[in-house]
Amino acid sequence: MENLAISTDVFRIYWSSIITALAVFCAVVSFLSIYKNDKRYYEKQLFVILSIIVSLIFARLLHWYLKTDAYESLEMAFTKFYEGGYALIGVFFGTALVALLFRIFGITKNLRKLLDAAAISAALGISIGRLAARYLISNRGFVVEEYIPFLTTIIKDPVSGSEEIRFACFYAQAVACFLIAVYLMIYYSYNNKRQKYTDGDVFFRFVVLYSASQMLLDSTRYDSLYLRSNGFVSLVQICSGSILILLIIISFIRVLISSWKTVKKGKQFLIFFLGLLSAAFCGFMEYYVQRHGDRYIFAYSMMFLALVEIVFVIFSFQNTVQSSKEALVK
Amino acid sequence: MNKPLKIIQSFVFTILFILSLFWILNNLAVKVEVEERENFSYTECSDKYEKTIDDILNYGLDDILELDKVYKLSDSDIIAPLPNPDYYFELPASESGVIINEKAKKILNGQKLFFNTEIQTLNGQPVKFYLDKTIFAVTWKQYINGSIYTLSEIKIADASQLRRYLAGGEFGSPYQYVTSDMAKTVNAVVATSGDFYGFRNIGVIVYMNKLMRASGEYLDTCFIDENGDMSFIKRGEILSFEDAEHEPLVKAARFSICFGPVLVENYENVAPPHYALGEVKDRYARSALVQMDDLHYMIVVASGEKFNLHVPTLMGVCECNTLNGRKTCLCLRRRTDCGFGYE
Repeated sequence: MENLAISTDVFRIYWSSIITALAVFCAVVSFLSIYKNDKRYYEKQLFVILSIIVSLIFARLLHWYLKTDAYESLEMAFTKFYEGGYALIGVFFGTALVALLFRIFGITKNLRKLLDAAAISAALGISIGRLAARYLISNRGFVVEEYIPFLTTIIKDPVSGSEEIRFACFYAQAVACFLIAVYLMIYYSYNNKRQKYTDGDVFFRFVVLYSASQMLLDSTRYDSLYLRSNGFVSLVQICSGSILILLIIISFIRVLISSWKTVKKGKQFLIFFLGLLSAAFCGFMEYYVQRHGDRYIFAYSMMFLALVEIVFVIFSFQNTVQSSKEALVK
Repeated sequence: MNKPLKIIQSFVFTILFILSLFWILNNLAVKVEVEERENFSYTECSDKYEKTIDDILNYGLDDILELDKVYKLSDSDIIAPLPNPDYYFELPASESGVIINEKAKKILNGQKLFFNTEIQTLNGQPVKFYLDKTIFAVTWKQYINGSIYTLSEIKIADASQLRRYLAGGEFGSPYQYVTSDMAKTVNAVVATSGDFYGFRNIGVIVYMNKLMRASGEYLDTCFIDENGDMSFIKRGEILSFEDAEHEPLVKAARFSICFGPVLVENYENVAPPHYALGEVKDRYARSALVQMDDLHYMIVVASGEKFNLHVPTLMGVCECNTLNGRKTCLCLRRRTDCGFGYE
């Protein structure tokens, strides 16, 4: 049962929805303050409103599609909004769609800058929104043997009422997203001051870091969303893994194209293969932890190291491309 | 930009934003709707009332009259009574004669066990027993045709003791649990995983006497009725929800299991050479639920061990003598590591 915050004859408000609303508020305020566009003042306001609406629709639609058994019908999914759930990944789809439409219809002239601001806001919003887990039925992580402050929570099984110690995966997500938000803000401010900021770079780094974090953290949940045809790997992991592998390949190609004559090709090829190997190892560790759930500490540690390696590879390629561009400008 | 226009724009945006925040506050949380109290209905309460009275009479007259107790569980009571750890014990197979011939005689009621004292358990491991007035369970591991099998033979006093528990306690729950945790939650004496109904959107699913899903094109479905008997509907026989609603087996079923295929039906081996799921021709860990006789079941799991990962094909399971001459048998899901919990 969720914790009630305000109860009147007319409505009831729960603590988790207060925190979610606060997260949306903070994300919107940060977006409005980061994204400067005085000439087209309506652009960011319209983007905010449309993003909220379209994201909610996509989040709900995706959750209905992937958890059809939890709903009586599609109509019920869009009438009884307080039942069922919402897929956070749908928010990304919705926001990306709105951004794309803005670019297509010429409402925004600088999509990359828009996405940079959205990325920092998203990281901040998710870090606050995930704290709503404190007031939800469970923290939805796997069962652990010992209670560790901040890393675990004690929850009551909804069926038997017995107490379980579960990994606080939502808190971990909140912390991870907060660190990502702080990193992105520092990166953005620092490079902006030095006039080394490239539009789209912040968004790129957000995608890499968030995908890497979700690849691991989504594995720790016991209510992940799966495609109807596959119950092995969650949708979030499929998207995150695909994005990371794609970015390794694309970044490598960009390095070769941008600095074919100057770059040490042997070194770049080695980093590339290291990245792919890390991706494969990460996938193997996911398979391993599904088969040997009691060895989660080992499996997730290895997965973490592999993901750090993948992030390092992609950022290394990105820095090489930027360095060659700066050299070219000079 | 024109200043008044900017102000109007900002005002409209602020209103819309506040409205969206209020909508989020009011909707983005699972609410519990308080229903109006219904008038008391004797019909609805009569089952529980009669059971309570029966229990009081039985236990009250226990030392005075010998009454045949009825150990009935209600499907709506998800958690079963806690087994008594004092009734759990382990013995070598060779020393189990007293248990199966004398102590379990009453509950077996003349039925013969597949388990016997001649069985050579894996590495001489002891056999695990649970025996009380309501349930007799014996579990052991042994080699059969080069594969390691874990077998659990169970005799229950009432069909309601054969139960199905879904993760989260309800159909469509978004949660996934480990089998051992689920078994512990509901106080199972013996439990097996075998039907991951959320994995695919197919199968005919009945839960708590209610039809939940009817997509029977690819899977055989096993229905457990109030007598604890297993009945089957083969793949392709039910294609729509309407067909399923009118099917007598579905109406009579307490719950269903839909992975398959059916291996034994009416004492005859009916295992198919081809099946949509389970890679029947490949070697994988497998499990099966067997009905030996009335209220008498066996769970067969071929999953291998760390030192011996040899697992059978579907036909390999059928050829092992555990299934020969049995009443009915349904194959449960194949996995790289099937298993079950034993409390």
